[in-house]
Amino acid sequence: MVKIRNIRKNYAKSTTYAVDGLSLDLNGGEIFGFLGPNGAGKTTTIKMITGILPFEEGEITVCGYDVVKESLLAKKEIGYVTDSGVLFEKLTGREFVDFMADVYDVGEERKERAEKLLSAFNLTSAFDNRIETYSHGMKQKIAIIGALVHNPKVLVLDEPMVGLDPQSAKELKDIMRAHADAGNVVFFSTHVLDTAEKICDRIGIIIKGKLVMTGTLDEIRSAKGDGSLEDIFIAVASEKDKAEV
Amino acid sequence: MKKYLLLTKTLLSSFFRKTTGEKKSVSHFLIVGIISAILACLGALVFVLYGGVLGQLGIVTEITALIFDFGFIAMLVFGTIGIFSYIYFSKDSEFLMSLPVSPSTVYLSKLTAIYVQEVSLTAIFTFPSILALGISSAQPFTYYIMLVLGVITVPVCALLVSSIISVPLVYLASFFKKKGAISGIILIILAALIMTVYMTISLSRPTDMGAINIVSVLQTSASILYPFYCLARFGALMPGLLGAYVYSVVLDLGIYLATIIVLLIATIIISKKTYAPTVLRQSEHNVSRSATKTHVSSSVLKTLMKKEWRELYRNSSFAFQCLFGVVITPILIVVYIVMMGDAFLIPEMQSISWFVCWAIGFAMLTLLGSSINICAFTAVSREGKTFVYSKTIPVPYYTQMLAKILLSNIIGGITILLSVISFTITTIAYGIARPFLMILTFVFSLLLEMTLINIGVRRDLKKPKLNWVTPREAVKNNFSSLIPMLVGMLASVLVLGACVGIEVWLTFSFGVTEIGATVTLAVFTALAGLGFFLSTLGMKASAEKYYARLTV
Repeated sequence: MVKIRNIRKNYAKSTTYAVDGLSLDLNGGEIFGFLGPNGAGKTTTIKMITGILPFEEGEITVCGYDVVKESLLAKKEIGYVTDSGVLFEKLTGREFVDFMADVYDVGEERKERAEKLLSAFNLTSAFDNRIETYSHGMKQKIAIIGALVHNPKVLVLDEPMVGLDPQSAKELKDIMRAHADAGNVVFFSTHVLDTAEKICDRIGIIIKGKLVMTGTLDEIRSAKGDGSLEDIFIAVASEKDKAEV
Repeated sequence: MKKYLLLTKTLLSSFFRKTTGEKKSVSHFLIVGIISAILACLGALVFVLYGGVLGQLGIVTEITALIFDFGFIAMLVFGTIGIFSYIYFSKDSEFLMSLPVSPSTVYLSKLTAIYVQEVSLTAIFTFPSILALGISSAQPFTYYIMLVLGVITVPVCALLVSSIISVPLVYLASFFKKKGAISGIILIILAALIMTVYMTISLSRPTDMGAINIVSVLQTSASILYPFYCLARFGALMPGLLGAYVYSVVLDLGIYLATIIVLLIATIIISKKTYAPTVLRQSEHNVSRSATKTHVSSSVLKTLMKKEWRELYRNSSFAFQCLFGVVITPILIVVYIVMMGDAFLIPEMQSISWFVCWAIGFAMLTLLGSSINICAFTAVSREGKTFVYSKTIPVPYYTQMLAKILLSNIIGGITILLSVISFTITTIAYGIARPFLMILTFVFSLLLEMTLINIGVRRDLKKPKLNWVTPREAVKNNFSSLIPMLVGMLASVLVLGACVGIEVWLTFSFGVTEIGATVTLAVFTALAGLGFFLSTLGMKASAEKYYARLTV
């Protein structure tokens, strides 16, 4: 559903690549967890997939659409939740969801979808309040509802668990699972290895711009030993550091 | 089109809605109302009184065109700031770029939002003045069609020109690590350049003309921005390019409308080609060469001031709003005095030319020096949501406020110093310098500025605008930033009125000349000193209290 082929990205005046030769296939029905230390290139990759950031080399297609050449068609298939939250805070939750639905050409089915998501996130009572009155977790939830209102084939979330209480995190994980089970892709970046371990069908570890490992948790364990994901992650990161030295 | 309307509606809703829980006091509306009314009435009053005479002199067309020119220049300057801040350096750019909406639609929606936000600025100046001129000089019905058309479309022209010139400027800024700072500098230079070039060209006239020929000067000035001259000729039904009267008027209207269409097409083409790559380039961060730099330790106050300064100058919108006065005030003082320069040389004027010259410079200094610098009036608002960190650091709230006050004082002080120096040099060039008056002018302006800064920081601390997304919102919806303009106006009217009164009284009652203004200014300087003292006490008394109750 998403094909990433050998993309490279370097920021202005930098001598090293922020993302270097990354290739990845994301298939329908899977939750893909994108792990990496700070500054590894997770957000840069996400921004390239969502068409926000240009890249020098390679190709990304979403549902067969090239994100550069057919960007609007590709974007229609993506639901994206940024790490900076909702920006139209003067709107009410309902107005924001309606805005997103209009932008993505969603018809009357928006009502049913929104109600379902609001109920799942326990946000119905605050739906007609201004977003600026929401807590951080509520803002995150309304951003996710906005991203899901058009039932995207590819849901991309940048650090979605940040700021969520355990109950909300559980609700989000359930929604991500349900969305993937419906045949869609859920791609998210996280630092919370425990979450990744529990809900991801496949995991990718990016370090210094390079995708150093991908696979199911079992595949990764069989390649790197039987430790927890945290142990494997730290081992892979330090191996990479040693190799650099 | 549907997505353009949807996005524009959403952007405008976000901009114009009040923050939840925020209550606008009566004084807010009163200040805005008073300032708007004063600005609207000032222009209109002149034309109500002299419109008939201007009609008889046959210069209504030129005056109308010049009023539109003024609106155009104002919108060009403020529109460019808006484009930098709201389109290219806005935090929502990435989110909007992730939506399935074409970049040019996003661009045009944002441009429309800027237009709606800014159009009142030019309308306040242009509409009442042109209306008053039209009525008092008995213009035909086409004049009122032109009025409505011009008030709506002249800002459109300005914004379209701004959007075109912004492209290379933003592209240039994107090559630098400190994009915000470079953009701020570019904006300040651009605005100063536009104003200076326009005024210089409009003041230039052939040297062999001899005596001042107002009509000739006006015609030269009015034809600089030719499409507006065409619009004005159409309104007044004045013959223009063609001999046949009707054809000429139609041609003038055609030239104006064609200008708008050409600008619109150029903007659409340019935005399609350049907006997305340019705005995406802003997402990229140039690599810092921090390895060569060393740590520098400072006192708490100094380090807070450095942080204030860096946050100010590295943000193009804040840099422009707070630093533009430093550049433009000295320039405009010189330009305005030179504008009146011929009058100072007329023998009948020589006995009062020193006073007229000083009054012009003083009014410009008081009005611009105070009103342009809104550094203090947005000192807390500029922090936005990061304000919360200032409450967690182990530094007394008053010390944090002091850093803001001192930085504002430095910026204000430099503005006044440069302005008084340029003012003094100009008066020396005309041989009408009055050194003691200049020293008093400097001290008065400085004390007034320092008083305003104390009031400004205290005011902003009491009711800051912390919930903003684009830096422009911190300034744009902040009504307290209008206070210095009002105080500047009042101070210049009060001081100059009193100076004229005392000077005339002393001259005619006692035959004493050239003392009244100095004595009066000395009294006002003492009052400004008292104002500074009281405002400092007020700041000390309330800083901790106001700061403590603030939350984001």
